[in-house]
Amino acid sequence: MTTEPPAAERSLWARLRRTVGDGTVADFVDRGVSHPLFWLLPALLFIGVFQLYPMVEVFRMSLTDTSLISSQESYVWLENYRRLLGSERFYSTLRVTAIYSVGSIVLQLGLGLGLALAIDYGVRRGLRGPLLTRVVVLSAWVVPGIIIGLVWRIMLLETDVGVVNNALGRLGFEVVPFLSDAGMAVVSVIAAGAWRGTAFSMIMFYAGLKRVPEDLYRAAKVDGAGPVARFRYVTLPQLKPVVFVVTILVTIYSLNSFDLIFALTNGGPGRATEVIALAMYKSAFESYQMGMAAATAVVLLVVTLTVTAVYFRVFDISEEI
Amino acid sequence: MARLEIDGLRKTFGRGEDRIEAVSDLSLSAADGEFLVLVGPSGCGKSTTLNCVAGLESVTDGEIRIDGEVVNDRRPEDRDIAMVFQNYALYPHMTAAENMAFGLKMTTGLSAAERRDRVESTAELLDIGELLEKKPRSLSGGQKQRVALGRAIVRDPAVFLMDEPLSNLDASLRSTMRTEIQQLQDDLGVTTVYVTHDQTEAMTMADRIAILREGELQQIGEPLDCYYRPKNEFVAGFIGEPAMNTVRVTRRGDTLVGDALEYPVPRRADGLPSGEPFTLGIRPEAIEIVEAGTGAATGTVEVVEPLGETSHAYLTVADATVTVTTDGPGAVEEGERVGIDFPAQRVHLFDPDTGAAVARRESLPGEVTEEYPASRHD
Amino acid sequence: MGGNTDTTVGRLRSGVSWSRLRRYCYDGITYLVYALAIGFFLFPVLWVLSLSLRTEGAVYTSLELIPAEPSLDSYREVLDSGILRWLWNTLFVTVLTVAGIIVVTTPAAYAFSRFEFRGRRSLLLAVLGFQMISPIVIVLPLYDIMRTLGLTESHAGLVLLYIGLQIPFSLWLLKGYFDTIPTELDKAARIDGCNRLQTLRYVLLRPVMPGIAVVAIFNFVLTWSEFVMAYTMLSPGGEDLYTLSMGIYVFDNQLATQWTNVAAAAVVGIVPIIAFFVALQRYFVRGLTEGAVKG
Repeated sequence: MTTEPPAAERSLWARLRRTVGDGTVADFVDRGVSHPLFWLLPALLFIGVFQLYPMVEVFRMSLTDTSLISSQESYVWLENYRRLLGSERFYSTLRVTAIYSVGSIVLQLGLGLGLALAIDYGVRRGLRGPLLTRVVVLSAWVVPGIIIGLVWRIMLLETDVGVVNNALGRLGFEVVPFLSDAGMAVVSVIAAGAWRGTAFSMIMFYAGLKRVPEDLYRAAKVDGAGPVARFRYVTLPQLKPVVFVVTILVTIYSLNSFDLIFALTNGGPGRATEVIALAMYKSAFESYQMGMAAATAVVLLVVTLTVTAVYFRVFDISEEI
Repeated sequence: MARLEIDGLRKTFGRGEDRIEAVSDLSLSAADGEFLVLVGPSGCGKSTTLNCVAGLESVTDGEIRIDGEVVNDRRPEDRDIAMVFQNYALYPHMTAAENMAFGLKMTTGLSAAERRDRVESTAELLDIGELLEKKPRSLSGGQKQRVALGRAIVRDPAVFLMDEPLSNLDASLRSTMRTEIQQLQDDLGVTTVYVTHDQTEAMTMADRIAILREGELQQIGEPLDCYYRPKNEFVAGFIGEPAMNTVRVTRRGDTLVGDALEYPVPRRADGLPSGEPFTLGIRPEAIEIVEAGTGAATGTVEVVEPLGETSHAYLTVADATVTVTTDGPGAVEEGERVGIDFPAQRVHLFDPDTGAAVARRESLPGEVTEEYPASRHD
Repeated sequence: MGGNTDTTVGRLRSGVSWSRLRRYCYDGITYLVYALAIGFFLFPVLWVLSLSLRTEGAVYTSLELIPAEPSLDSYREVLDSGILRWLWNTLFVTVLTVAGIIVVTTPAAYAFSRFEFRGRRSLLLAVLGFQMISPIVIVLPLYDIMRTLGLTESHAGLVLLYIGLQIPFSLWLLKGYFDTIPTELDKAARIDGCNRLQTLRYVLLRPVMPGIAVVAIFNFVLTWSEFVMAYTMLSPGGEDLYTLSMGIYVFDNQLATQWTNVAAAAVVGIVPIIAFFVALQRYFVRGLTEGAVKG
C-alpha cells in the first residue's frame, strides 16, 4: 500500500505553490512542521499531566495530613515521615520488599538467561523445541498479574484442592503451608513472580544474544576458545548493556510489585508478604491516610532511585549508552 | 539547462563554543551541462556544500544561484534539482517504479499514466525495465544504484546532485558505473555536481574538479591541470596515485640541496631567492631509475610491489621514503642501490610554510613542448 | 558447522568423536531445559483449565489433567455473572489505549530521532526517567487528578490515564526504531518534495512498522492485564464498568470457595490474551530482535 495523496489535493497544492511563487502557504506549513514542538507537544502534555504533575503532587501530599474521607488538609511537614520511620510495620515491609526483590531478581535473571541461552543454542543448532518453549514462557508473561495470583493461590491451597499439596500428600509428604507460614509465603510469592517475570528477562536476553555477531564466535573459535571461554569472553561482554537494562527494569518492577501479591496473599499471613507498595495502597484506601501513604510512596521512589543509581555505579556502562 | 553558481557560501553548525565552520567563503560555478566534481578528504565540506545546493541545509551566508535565480530560500522541490545518495536511499516499501515516480507524484500534477510513461522511458534508458516491479530488498547494489539514478533522471531536473553514489559498490562495478554515469550525463547534458573522496573518480569523470579542504576551496580546474599544475602542496598530494613525493630542499646558488639530494634549479624557478627553503615535489611516475651515484640522489630499494605493467618501488633516500613507479616487474630489485632522476618540467616547488606552489609550470605536457628542452638541465 | 574436520580428527585420534559426543550432551541438556520450562510455565494454565472443566465435587479428589466427568457448569455460571461485559470493557479500553499511544508516540519518537534542538538529550533522558517511576508510586495523586478532572468511573478517563502512563517506554522503544532508519531516506523524501509531515506519512511510517507493532503488542498486553489503576479509578462505578482483572478479583472475593467457578473466570481472563499473543508473538520477537533496544 503506497498511500497516494488525493489527486485533487495534489493539483491544488501544486497550483497553489505555482501561483504564490515561493509559496507562502506551503512555507507556512513547512515552518510549522519544522518545529519539534509540533511533534512533541501531545506526548509532553500527557507526560506532564499524568506523570510530572503527580510526581510533584505526591511529594506535596506526603507533607500533609490529607485524607480520603475529609476535605480538610493542612501541612504537617515531616510528621508523616517521622511516624513512618518510627513504625515497626514500615521496617517489616522494607525487609519483605528487599527479600522479595533480591529473590525475584536472582531467579528471573538466572532463569531468563538460562532459557535465552538454551533457545539461542537450539535455534543455532536447528533443534526442535525452542519456538514452543519461547511461546509457552512468553504466554505466562501475558497472563494478567491478578489472575496469576489467583491461579497460584488455588494451586498452593493447603487442602486437597491445592494440586501441589495433593501431589506431595500422595507421595507421603506432610502438608506444606505454602501460604500460611510466613517464610513459605514469601517463597511462594517469589516463585509466582518468577513464573510471570522470567519471560521478560528471557526475551530481552534472547534479543541481545541474536545481536552478537557470528564473526565474534568464529574468531574466538579460531583463537582456541572452548564453549565456556566463548561464553565468558564473547557472549557476556556483548550482553552487558542488555544485562544492565534488564537488571534495572526487573529491579524497578520487583520493588514496585503489587497486583500479583495483592491477589495471592494480600500481604499475609500477618504482614509476612506485605511489600511497600501494598502497605502504601492499604494505608491510602483502607485506612484513608493519604498523607501517610504518600510518604510511603516517596520512600518507595527514593529506594528505587537509589538502587538504580547504585547500578549505574557498579556497571560503569557510561561508554555504552 | 542551467548554470549553477555558488557565491561566497558559508555554512556553520552549532553556536557559541561548539560553532564549527563547515564551509568558508566558497565560490565556484558549474557551466550549463558541465560535470563538476567536488573532491576532498572527509570533513572537507564537500557534502555540506552539496546539501546547501540541494536545500537540505540552510545557508549561513552567501548565495546559491541556479540559472541566475537565487534559490537560497527555496524548498528543495522548488529548486529544480534531483539528488543521488551514497546509500541509494530507496524507499524500502515501494517498488522501483514507485520509488522513481514518488517525486513526480509529490511535486507535479502529472496523472498516474503520465508518471508511468516517464518512469518507463527512463527505465529503458537505464536498462532496468524488468526491475520496475521489484522492491529494493531484492535488488543488487548495482541495480539499486541504477534505480536511484532513475529516480533523479525521471524528474528531468536542471541540476543533478550526486553524493558519493558509487562508494558502496565493489571495485569492478564501480568502474562500470563510472563510465555509465559519465555517458548518461553526456547524453542528457544536465549540469551535474558530483561529490566524492576518491580522486580516481574525480580524475576520470570530471569536466572540472574542485578540491576542498577544511571548508576552503584549494583549486578548481580541469583534471589534468590539477594534476600537472597543482596550486599547492595539498592538491599535489591529494591528486595522483601513489601520492607525490615531497622533500625539503634549500636553494644554494644554482642548485636545490636536500638531504642526499642535489638538483639544478629549473629555469622557471630562476627568480627564487637563494638560501631559502622549499618543498620539492615529484610524482612517482616522473622518476627514472638510473645508475647508483648518478642522477639527483641515490637510495636503497626497500620494497617492490609488482602491479603487472608497472611496479611501485619504495626507496629509502637518506631518512625519507621515495615512491617510484617503474616499468614492469624486475626493473629494480629489493635491496638494490639505485640512483633516481627526473625531468625539470615535472618538478614542483612549494613554499614550505604556506604550501603554495611557487614557479608553477605554465602549461600542460604536449601543449608547448619546446619550452623545456628534453634535457633535464634546462 | 565445521564439524567435519573435528569429527575426522577425533576419529583418527581415538576412534570416538569427542566433539560429537559433547554436542549430543549439550543437545540433551538443552532438551531437558525445554521440557522443564514447558512443564513449569504451562502447568498452572493447564491446571486451572482442568479445574474449570470439573464438577464442584471433583476438585478434591483427582489429579488427572483431563477430568473424568467434564462439565461446563462453571462456565455457565461465570458467563451469567457479567464477565462478558468485563471482557468487552477490557477490549474497548485496551484498543483505544493502544491506538492513542501510537498516535501520540510516533510523532514524538520521530522528533527525538530526527530533530536537532537544544535540550533534546536532556528532554529524552527526562522522559526516560519517568520510565524508572512505577505508576503505583503516583497512584494517589493520580486518583486526585482524575477526580478533579471528572475522569474517574469512566473508560475514556482510564484510557487517557493509560496513555499518559505508558508513553515513556513506548517513546523510547520507537525512537530506537527511527534511529535504525537511515536519514538519507528523509533527505531523499525532501528532494522528492515532501515536508516533514509527508516524510513521516509516506516514507518513514512503513519502515518503522515493525517497531510500531512491538509497541502495539506490548501495550496491548500491558493494558489488558492492568489492575491497580482500573481498580482505583473504576471501583466506585459499579460492576458494569469493571475490567476483566478487576471483575475477576471482585468475583473471586465473593465466591471464595467455589473453585471451579473461580477457575473458569480465570480461564476466560487468560485465553483471549494468550491467543492474541501467541498469534502475534512472532512480530513481537522479530521486532525486538531486529530493531532498537540498544543499551
